[in-house]
Amino acid sequence: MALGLTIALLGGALAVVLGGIGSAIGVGLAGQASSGVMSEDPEKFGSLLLLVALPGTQGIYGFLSAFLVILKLGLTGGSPVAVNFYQGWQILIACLPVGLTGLVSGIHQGKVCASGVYMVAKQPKDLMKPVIMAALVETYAVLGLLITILLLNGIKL
Amino acid sequence: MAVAEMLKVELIAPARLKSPLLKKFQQAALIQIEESARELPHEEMSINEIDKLHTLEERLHQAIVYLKAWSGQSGFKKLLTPRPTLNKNEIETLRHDSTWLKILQTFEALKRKRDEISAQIRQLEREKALLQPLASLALPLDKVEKFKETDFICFSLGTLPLASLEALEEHLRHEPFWAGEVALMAKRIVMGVIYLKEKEYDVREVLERLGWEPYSLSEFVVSFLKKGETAAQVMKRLDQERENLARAGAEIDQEIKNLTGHLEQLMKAADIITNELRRQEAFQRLGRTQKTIYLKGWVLAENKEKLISLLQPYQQKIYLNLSQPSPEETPPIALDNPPLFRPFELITRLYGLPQPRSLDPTVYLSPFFFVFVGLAVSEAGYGLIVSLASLAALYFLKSKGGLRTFLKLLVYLGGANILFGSLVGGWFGYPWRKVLLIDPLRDPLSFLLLALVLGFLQVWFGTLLNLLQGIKKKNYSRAIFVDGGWLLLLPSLIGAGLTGHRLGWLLAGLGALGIIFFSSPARNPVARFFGGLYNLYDISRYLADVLSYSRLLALGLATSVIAMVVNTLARTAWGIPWLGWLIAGFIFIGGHLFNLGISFLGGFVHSMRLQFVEFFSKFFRAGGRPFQPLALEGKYIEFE
Repeated sequence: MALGLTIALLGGALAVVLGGIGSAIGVGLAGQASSGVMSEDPEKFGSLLLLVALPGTQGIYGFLSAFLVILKLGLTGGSPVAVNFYQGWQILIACLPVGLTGLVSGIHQGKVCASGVYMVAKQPKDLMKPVIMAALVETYAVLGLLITILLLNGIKL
Repeated sequence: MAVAEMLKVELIAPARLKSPLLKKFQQAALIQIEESARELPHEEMSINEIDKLHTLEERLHQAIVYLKAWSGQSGFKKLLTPRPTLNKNEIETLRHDSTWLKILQTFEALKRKRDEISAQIRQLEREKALLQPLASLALPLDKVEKFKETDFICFSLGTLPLASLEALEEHLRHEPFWAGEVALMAKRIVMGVIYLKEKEYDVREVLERLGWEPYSLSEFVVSFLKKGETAAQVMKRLDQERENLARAGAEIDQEIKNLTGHLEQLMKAADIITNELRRQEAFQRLGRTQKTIYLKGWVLAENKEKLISLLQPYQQKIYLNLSQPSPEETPPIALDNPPLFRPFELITRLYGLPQPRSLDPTVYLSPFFFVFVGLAVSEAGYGLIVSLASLAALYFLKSKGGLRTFLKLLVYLGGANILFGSLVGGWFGYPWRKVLLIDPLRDPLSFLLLALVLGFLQVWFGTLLNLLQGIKKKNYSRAIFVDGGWLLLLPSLIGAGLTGHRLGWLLAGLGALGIIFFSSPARNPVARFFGGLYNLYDISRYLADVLSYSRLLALGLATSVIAMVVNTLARTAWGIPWLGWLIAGFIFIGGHLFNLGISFLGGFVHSMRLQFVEFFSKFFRAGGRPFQPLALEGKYIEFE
């Protein structure tokens, strides 16, 4: 049924778009901070790259959830599975945890990474400490991803 | 297998032995020297010597940084070339060898000359830009400079805003003056104006109203120009001058470049000076009188004999006392673990060193960390790549210190992935069905259960360590009843929940009683009871801690799914005619490398967090200060 498929696709799109927005903002924040630091100390590129890349995972989680949706709908093989109205909604709802947690945690992880960049500027040896701090924020995106995967796995088509 | 034992060193020696003793200590890298100057009367020493060394060190660093930029070594090549080495016996000879100082002075003279030339070039360029508006003026510049007025007429040069051009034309029709356009700039026009002297006042007023700004030649140009030269000619000569200077600059650059051959000598000198400074600073920490010095410090207990034999030659002249630290003293911390576990010290260090007389968590976290990274990445192919690459780096880079430890750790973690990737993941996205225990994509719940069981084990184990530590510190009641209570309560609760057996509930109740009656520090029995009851609420914390380990499933799945996506994309690209194999290859290699990067980063960081937040919070308090013996440490070179 076309309506069910449409709703399911909206779910996959939301997962990748919301996570992507979160990551884009987060990476943007950290990237701006690191460019500022690098203008003084270009040699820090390598260690700062790590902090800038860190808020990028939410986008990847969203992407892989969307891919799971695509697999579930059988869109890769060219023969889509029939999805009814309720199943479409189920898939959309299953995508929300990863999308919404990714959106918010990506932004906040970006802020933590940006301040981590300033910290590394002054204490280059303590690179891993801000990375761990950022990972504390990412936890919730990971949990969102976990629930999305479990929900998608549980939906019967 | 824990925090290494430290001995306190006290040494009194005649003051004249200070240099040889400190040199010996630095070479042997045995003892950390504590501040004792403040407590004891001491002779003021001149700061002058230290200042001099600081200046010399700074000069050397600047020269090295500058020359390094000229040496033209690429980043990768730099990584592969091992650091130059210096034998300890050469230090004295090199220190008093004046060649490096001469090289340094030559460099500084050249650099100063080069800076001057650059400044001159910049000035010439600036002057040329200022002359630009007059480029088309045919009138010789010296005329412009000198020819201001005759008996009857005045001449002046200046700029007007483009917007007032029309107004000017209007004026030209009525007023007795002539104006000619010289050149156009971005927003203004350069003009020459000639007018009758008697009308000077009126004309100036008109011009000012229109926004006139007189143009005058800079002092530099006035002194530079020759008689009869137009602006264009002057500019050409400025250019020539600039080229001459640039050529001279290039020659100096070449000379500086030739100096890069001496870079190694400068690096050696810089490190020798740095270590001399370190020794001077150590000296400042000693207690001193006119005739004697007093040194307080720490030595690893295992190095006791080495220290004694090191001081053998001075035996008659010094007093040495080695003793166990008293309970008020806080010795520095050195970790001492079997070689197998040493790479994992990195994780402990990152969190912070343990306090003196407490437990080193390295050995306990190692197996968990190993398994967690294995599960969180769970990709055997990536594990193989990481292990091999780290082994190769260990072999070729010959690095020391932190990087070496990290590479060793990566070898382990790669190994963990080869193992767990085969069991619960795949090889580059393809599960190896023969050995696969759990397919996380088809059966995520089993994987989740595995992660939670491991989490429960670690949290329980952390509480057990706290119990053991409490017993060691003679905190018996708290250790046995509270920590013991949790240790009993948690598994029996799960057992009771799963089997419904009465024994489980009974044991859980027993554990809970211990917590209720012994966990609150209050003395009032009622407050104690309710405080204990409230502490029972900590069970939610234990629950949250265990659930936190579910991230292992999410991270492991993420790796598998992305690997699968890469394979699917590569397979799709394979179908493209002609170039399909090439594009598929790019996608396969690039995609998997990307996934390797992010999954290892995630696996590493999240596994570390599980140690820090979930495991360490049960039993570990950081706060030790690192043991840093006075030693020869090179920024650029290795001391042999």
